Amino acid sequence: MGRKLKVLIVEDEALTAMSMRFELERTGHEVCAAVATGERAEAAFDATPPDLVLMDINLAGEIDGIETAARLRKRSAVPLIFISGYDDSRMVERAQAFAPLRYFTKPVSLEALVRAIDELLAPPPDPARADEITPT
Amino acid sequence: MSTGTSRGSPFAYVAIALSAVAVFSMSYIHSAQRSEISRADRVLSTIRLARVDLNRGFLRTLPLGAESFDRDEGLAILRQAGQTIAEADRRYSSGGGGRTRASFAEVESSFASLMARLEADGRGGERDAELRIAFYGIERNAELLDETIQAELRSSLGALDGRYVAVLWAASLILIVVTAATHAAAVGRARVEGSLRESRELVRSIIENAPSLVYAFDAEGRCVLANRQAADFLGVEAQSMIGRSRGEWMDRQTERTHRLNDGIVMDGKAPITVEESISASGGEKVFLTTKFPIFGPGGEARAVVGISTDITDRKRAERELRDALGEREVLLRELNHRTKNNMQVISSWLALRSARSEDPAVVAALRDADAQVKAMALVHRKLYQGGDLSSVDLADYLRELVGVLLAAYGDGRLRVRTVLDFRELRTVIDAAVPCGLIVSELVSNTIKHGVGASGEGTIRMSLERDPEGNVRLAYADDGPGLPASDREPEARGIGLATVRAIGEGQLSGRVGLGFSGGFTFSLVFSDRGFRARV
Repeated sequence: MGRKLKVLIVEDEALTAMSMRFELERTGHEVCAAVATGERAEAAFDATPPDLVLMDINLAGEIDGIETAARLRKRSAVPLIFISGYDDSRMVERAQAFAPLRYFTKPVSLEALVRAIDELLAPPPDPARADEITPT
Repeated sequence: MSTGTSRGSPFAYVAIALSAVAVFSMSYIHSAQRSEISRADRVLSTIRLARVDLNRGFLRTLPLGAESFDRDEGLAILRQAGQTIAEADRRYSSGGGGRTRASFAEVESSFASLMARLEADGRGGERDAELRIAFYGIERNAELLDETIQAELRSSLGALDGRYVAVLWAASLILIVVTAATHAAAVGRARVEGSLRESRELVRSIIENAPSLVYAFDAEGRCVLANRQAADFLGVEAQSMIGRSRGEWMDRQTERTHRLNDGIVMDGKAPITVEESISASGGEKVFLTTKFPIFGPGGEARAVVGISTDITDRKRAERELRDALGEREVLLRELNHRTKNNMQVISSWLALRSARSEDPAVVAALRDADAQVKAMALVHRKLYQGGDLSSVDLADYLRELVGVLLAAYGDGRLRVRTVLDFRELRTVIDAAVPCGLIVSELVSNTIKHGVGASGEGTIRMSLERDPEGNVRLAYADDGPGLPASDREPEARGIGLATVRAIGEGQLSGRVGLGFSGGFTFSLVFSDRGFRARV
């Protein structure tokens, strides 16, 4: 495992958020918050700035995950990983504007997710990989 | 279309009739002339006979007892009183009276000479005799002259008559030929004119009866042609449109757009097809319009003809269809999203349950279930991303599925190598999903039994469509194989039983299992019986 990260989970499906939290904490990371809306994500972000944000796109509330990402990016260059059931090119292109670390398509293997996090964030983020988005 | 025979020009018939009348008239005139000549000849003969009778009477009245004989023989003998005929004849002959021909000049000269001599010698008797002789000479010469004139006249008239008739008939023949040629030309011209008239009528009929709007505008934007449909659409009389500009029926912007299109045709001298909108009493109509130029003698574009077909309903249908397709796209996208979201929820639930269980069998079972969920989620993703909702590339699907499964089962110690010999193979989803479930079971089996404590192993797979069109899938690992006691599917739990049930029951294929020198599996099935559902 790489360094211990503070992770903000933005996911409106409770079971999914719960399983992510479980796997992340099992592998030594800290989940600072798991929220279901973009507005709550902003508040949680401001309360405890995370090292990584796992962002669903289709969220409860007024704004979707991409808009939420835009608002968080105004605060900092926090690394983002999108996890969405959308895998069409239009949505992927929208997400690409925020140079996420990865774009996972649901259902995602939690082990694969955590492994990717460790691989991506163990060394400092490589800017050259920032624009590589492959739905996985 | 009518193909009736064209009739000749009335002029031609009149010409033929006039020709016939002319020939008849000339023949009649010729006959009349001949009659006149005959009559003149008879008159001349009458005059001559009258003159002879006059001479005879004159001679009879002479106191000298002159006589004349045989006038028809042209011989007259005058004698003095007491003189015998023979003596008078001799005297006349010796005095020059024997000549049968003399010119007027000779006769006049001799007469003058005789008169002078008679006046000089005072011999009355001789004088009378001489006078009679001279008179006879004159009369005889006049008679001969009559004959000569008549002969020459007859000869001249005869020659003239022959030439006249020849010329007359030649002229008549020429006139007839010319008339016939004129008639033929007139008939031909009439036929061409008739054909042109029919063509013009056909074109006019086409334009008038066309269901489209047909019109033409010249370079100045004035209407030069409009059919009934165009006029009806604009609510005006077709004839009233001629010479007027579009601005009288269209708003400024529409007129500008239409004239712009006309300009493109005029400048480019080539047809264009455009969609044009026109607002009318019934609302805005959309037309599919083809415009083309018509050229003047110098090759310049003189006007633009437009043929506009109302496609308003079609455009509306297209828009509705496009909207429906958009809605379908959104629906499909959301359904796909929801499906995968739900599968994520199931997968998450399985993961949570697995984490809370301390029974390895339960954990393994939950992991198998999670793998199957991911196998089905993957085929959904392939279908949606491929744009073809009825079929997927089975090779592409299975290749990615193996990777997903190994990642799902991976726990850090697993190092399984894959050797995949796949050919592109499109098949319907009803065949692809069972294949995915089989491969999921097989990979699960290999991870459980085919790798040792080291976690290392190799999976070899091949996929192809054989020449008979059947799908052939082969799978093998290099594990230790199975003891004989475990080779029956029932003895291995539901894993191999599931594989056999799917392969033979659902896919109606032939399943082969091998357990020596590693585990092997083969499946041959036909996917022709599966129909595309979308």
